[in-house]
Amino acid sequence: MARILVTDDAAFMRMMLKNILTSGGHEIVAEAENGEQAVEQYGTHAPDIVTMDITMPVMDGIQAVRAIRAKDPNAKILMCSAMGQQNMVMDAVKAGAKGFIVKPFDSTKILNEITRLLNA
Amino acid sequence: MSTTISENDVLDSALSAVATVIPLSMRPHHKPLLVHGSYVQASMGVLIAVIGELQGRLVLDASAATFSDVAEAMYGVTLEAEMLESFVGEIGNMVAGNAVSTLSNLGITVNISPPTVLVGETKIAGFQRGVHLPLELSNSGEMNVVWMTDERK
Repeated sequence: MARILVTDDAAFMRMMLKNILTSGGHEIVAEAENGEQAVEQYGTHAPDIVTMDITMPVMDGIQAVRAIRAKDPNAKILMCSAMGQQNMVMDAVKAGAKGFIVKPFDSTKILNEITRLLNA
Repeated sequence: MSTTISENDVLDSALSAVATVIPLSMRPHHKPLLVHGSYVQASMGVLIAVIGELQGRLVLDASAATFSDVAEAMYGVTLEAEMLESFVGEIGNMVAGNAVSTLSNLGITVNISPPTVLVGETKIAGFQRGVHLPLELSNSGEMNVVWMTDERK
C-alpha cells in the first residue's frame, strides 16, 4: 500500500485516479490542482509516490518534478500526461520522474506502475 | 528543424488523435469545410492553444449528451454538470496531446495550453482561417473538430 499525492488540473482526472488507486488498496493523502500545490503538499504530507500531470496552469508538471526532487532527491514521481512525445518523456526523466504513463490510461497499467515504483 | 505543414496535416493529426482517444466508431459527415473569421459552437466544447513552430487553436465541440456518451464509453461513468465539464477539458487535453505527438514525429515541435472549456453558444473569432470537420459518432451524435490558424503579426 502506498501513500499517494494525486496532481492533475482536471477534477475529473483526479476523481478517476483516486478511484483506481483506492481500489488497488492505496491511500490518497492529498490532491493538487497544479505543480505549485503539489510542491506544497509534498512538503506537508511526504507521500510515498506522486502522480503528476504535465500541462497545468500556474506551474507545469516538469517544473514541479524539479522542485520536489530538489527538496527530496528520493521522491518517486509518476507522470500521467496526455503529452507522450519523446522529448516530453525525456524532459520528465531528466527532471527526475521515475515513470511515464500516457493518457488515456487503463487502471491495470497505473496500478502496475505504482507497484513498480513502490518496490524500486 | 523547419518543416512545412499544411492545415490538412494538422486536421489529419487531430482526427487520428480523436479516433485513438475516443473508443467509438466514427466517420466524417462530409469533407472538411473552410472557416473564415469566426466559428460558433452550439453547446459545449474545449479549446486548446497550440504554440511553437505551429500556432493556432484546436476546438472540439459537441452536445453535453454526446460528451456524456464518450465518458461512458471511455470510463464507464455517467457524468453531469461540473464533472462533465472537467471531462470535456480532459478530452481536449488528451486529443491535443496525442495530435502533438503525431506532429512531433513529423518534425514539428509544439506545445499545448491547458484546456479552456466553453459552455453554451460561443463565438470564437480572431484567427486567420480554419478548417472544420464534423464527425458522426456511432449512436452518440456529432462532434466537430476545428483547427484555427493564428493570425500572423
